[in-house]
Amino acid sequence: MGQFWIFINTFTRYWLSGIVWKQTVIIMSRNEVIFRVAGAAGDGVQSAGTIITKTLARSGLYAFTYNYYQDIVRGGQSWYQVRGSDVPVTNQGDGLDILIALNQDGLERHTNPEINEGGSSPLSGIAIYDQSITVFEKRNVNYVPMPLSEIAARYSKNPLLKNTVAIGAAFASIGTDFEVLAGVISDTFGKKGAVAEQNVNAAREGYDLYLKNYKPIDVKLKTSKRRLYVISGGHAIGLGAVKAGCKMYIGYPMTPASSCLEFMTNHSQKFQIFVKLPEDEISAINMAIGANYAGVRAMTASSGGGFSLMVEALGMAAMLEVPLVIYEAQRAGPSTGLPTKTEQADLNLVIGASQGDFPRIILAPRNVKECTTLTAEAFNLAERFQTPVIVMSDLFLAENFQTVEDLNFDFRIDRGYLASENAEDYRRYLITENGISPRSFPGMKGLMHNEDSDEHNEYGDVVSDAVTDPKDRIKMMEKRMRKMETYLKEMPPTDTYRAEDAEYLVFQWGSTQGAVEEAIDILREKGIKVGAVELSRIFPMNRDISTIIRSRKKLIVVENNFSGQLNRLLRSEFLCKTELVRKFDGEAFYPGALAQELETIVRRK
Amino acid sequence: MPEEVNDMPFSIPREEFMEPGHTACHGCGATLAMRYVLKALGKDTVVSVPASCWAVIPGAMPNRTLNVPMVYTPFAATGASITGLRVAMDILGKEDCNVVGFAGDGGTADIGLQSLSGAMERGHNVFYIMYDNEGYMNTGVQRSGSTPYGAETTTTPVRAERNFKHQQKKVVADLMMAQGVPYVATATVAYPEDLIRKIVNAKKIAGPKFIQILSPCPTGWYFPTEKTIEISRMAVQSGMFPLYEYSNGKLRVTKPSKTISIRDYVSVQDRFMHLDEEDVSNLQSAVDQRMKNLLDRERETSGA
Repeated sequence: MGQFWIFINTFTRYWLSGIVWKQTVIIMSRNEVIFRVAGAAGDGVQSAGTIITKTLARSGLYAFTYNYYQDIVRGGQSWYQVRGSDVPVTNQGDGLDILIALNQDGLERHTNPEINEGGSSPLSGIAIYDQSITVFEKRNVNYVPMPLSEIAARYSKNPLLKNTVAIGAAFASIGTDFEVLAGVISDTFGKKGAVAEQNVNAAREGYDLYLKNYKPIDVKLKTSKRRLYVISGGHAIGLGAVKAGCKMYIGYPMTPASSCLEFMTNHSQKFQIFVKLPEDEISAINMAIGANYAGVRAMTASSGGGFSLMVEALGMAAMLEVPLVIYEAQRAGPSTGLPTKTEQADLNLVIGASQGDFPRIILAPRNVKECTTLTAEAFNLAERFQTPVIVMSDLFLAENFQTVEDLNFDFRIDRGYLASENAEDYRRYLITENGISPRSFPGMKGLMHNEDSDEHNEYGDVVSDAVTDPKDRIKMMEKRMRKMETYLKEMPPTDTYRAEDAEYLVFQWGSTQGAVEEAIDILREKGIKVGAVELSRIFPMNRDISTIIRSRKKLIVVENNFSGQLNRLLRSEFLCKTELVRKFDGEAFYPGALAQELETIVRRK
Repeated sequence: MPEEVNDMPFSIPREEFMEPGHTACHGCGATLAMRYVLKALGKDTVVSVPASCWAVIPGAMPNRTLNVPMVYTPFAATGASITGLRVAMDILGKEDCNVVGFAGDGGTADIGLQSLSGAMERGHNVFYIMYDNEGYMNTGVQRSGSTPYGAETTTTPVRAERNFKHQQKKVVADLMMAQGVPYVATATVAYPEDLIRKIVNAKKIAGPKFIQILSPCPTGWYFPTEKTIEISRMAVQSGMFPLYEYSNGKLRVTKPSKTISIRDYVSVQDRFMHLDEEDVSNLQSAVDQRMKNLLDRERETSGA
């Protein structure tokens, strides 16, 4: 990071070069901008946001998107925020510079200082809207009424064209090269030749009209030649699976796991992956188990509701010692909950799913890039330890787009301990020191064996039928659970952020990384010695945490759920005293508000 | 019985149990399906709805569009839910209350099939209405077992590889007939009198009833929103969705007064725009075969 934000008034930010000024002295232009497109579902909010994001990325700027939407097809109120900067951005950010309001409700809602939609900021910059909206509650912001619909009507009957005019004006206000925007628009509507041209021309009118009548806003972004990918966590997880040699993806639609399903469907031919949508999640997981048993890397995915249906089969995979990768994308529960909102409340479910004790590994990528690397790693871990590996994300990570500079595709596939054909006295569940036994695939010569969900001996013969052998039971149970010990020894050290001299340690897991790190930067700037412990390999818990937490003043856990599921886990694993910052309104953490909460805890006696 | 208008032998009851305020897409066929079903059943009805479009369209706060009680159920469990409701109503002495499961095609043909089959087999006095929009429309147009051959969905994206759905539609009503459910019918929103008549007929049977209602979806079938009724009618005329009534072992197929070809039907929906002559003739012959089977069955059962 290396860039620090100072909060002077609650919602006003200034870019400072190291000196903190009281009140309202602007030192120099800010190097970031936050757009927000607001309207109803069906107004083209998301497509407008996508065009903005791509235009930033093609200007060599970093971007992060935040999609606030509802689960209805039309109406309601939704918005799409895009944060752009010439330094990497890792969350949706505080503040709002440019509002594109597609209806009166959007215009009033986002200029209202009392706004409270899970922590988003009200407008402190310009509001671009159609000049036909004349009756609305006026606030202290810069209104930019424009003849958006009028311009659009000259080109097409499609009313959504007015969004393009507004986007043109928005980019004029920050001085973006129009040709970059024109390129993105052409590509977006490319298939429809004339439509692309109409949109480019409409955008140009909006762009010119803004420059003619209004001043640019006080934002200076250094464009660059760097190539940036725009990718969401769900897509990145798909990409990670592809990288790891996944050849079968079974998914039943459920938000927010569907973004990964879509990626896999759209690329199945190119990457030669069998993608199927079965009749339910019970089928989905069992199809994946079947493929993995036969030696093909396969994964399945769902959100908490679908994962709940997979639970029985999860334990069976562990008992059969069949490798399995499951992607679990959390959304706000319980039950249907808030289907289009984010939460991190499935940790208890995933850790505890299925009857009995068995080894399992849970990974929780912290950002889009890690979605790719950890998903690929999951495939190796699953085959190395012959047990289920669950990759957890949440709606915030799965559906929001980030710019990524480079996606590392170096990856070595490790298929684990495989038996060779015609091995003498083959024992599928051979008792070994590290708990890992030689795996074989159906049809391999001389490796006849049973794989049974009943307790079995080394050969796979059932020991629970005629006579239960307590000794075999103990041996097999210990063998399976030893795999966890082996994994713990091999785990890479836990990642930390500015933790070396930190008196206060913040624990985060998964998608909250960006907001937590930025909050820590804000507090560091105030002289508070705070750092973070970042858990992307969340279960089993790395033992080095017990060393990391030694002699700190306070441990604070930050989580997107009600009960503090990681908090409870940390307390039980390390017998430590912790404090909890939680958020369960369906929205992600915002760095400014999080910094305030952390500061309150730090200063509390 | 709901109030009837007098100028036609049997027409659509005036009373509304579905009021303005729903949040479905323009031109939604599934909203009409619900409206007609409730008109036919009247006020003394409780509806169970699993995850589906109908789980999100009954009205965004503070609106509420249904004038009857409605309960949500997990995706896979509509059949179980109506069983529980029925038994409870009987225990409470409300034997006359209609219990209706109202599920989409994903929740019926795919994940809910087991639960549906169980509920029908147990023989409870329940209605199971499958509103068939031929895909998972609520979650963004994914293919279901009930999606017809040739259709494009987001999980069968066509592109250069021509990866449209290559499997034929699984018709749940046919399965229910094979299971011997006492009352099975198909209906669609272009023929409301037929639809309502079937619900009223079904009500006379004190056992399980299954009615599959084709509900065109402009969002997922990619056609203009004002064409819903037209396409619903064309589905029947082309034989893509034959209307029939199977009651106590006897099948009666409704023959449309005008027939059109599959080519006519597919050419008005963009979900089929990629189909070439061969694909269309594949679909035509499957449709012809199914129609023949139905007519054979009709002949057999009427003779019996």
